[in-house]
Amino acid sequence: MLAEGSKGSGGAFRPRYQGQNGTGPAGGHEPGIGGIGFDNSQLITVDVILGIANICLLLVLLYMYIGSYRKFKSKFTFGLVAFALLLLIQNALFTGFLLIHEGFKGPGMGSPIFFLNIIEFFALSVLIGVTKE
Amino acid sequence: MKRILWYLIAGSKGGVNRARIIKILHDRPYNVNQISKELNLDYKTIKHHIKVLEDHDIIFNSTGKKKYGAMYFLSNRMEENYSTFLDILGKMKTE
Repeated sequence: MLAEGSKGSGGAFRPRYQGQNGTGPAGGHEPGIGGIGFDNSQLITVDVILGIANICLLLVLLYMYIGSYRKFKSKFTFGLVAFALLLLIQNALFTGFLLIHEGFKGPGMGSPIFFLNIIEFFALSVLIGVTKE
Repeated sequence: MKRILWYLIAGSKGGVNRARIIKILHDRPYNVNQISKELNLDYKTIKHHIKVLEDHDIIFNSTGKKKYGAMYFLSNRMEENYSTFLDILGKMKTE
């Protein structure tokens, strides 16, 4: 399926109806973000990198939360640890599926996942920012 | 207020030192330099925590502006919630 990706950014300038045909083999050429010129497989690679970045942020967060849990054994700090841990598992599974399951990198999946991951990235950055204060 | 206290003390880095600052300010007012001597912590560390605590209306300073040697007091809001603070401290492992 990804063999089509060798045509590179040309996919972005194709007539719309071809890109939208998700059933055909050319379905992998759905134009990327606003048709800037990334094809689906490139975007999936970016998504995986963002997913790994999110996992790193969650590890940092988990480390800080475990630190406060060890000082204050309370429901509140336990909740923080559980939150970070569950979200970490969710992200690890998601990024894993993105690498392994073909269905996750199917046509047109690149940019929606990109936006989900980039928003999560900023959300986690903010949380780390206020936790470090 | 309860949530802010929990987060500032138990949910973020340096919470233990913030708790120590609140504790000694409950006894009597201090300035930054005195706090750093009392708690045996770096002046800049204290200054940072003081700023965070001031931003969250937990303490205030007597002059109302950033002046060297200004004395810090617990805010009324903090005094009213001092029992919450003691609850949080009760969950702390050390002390």
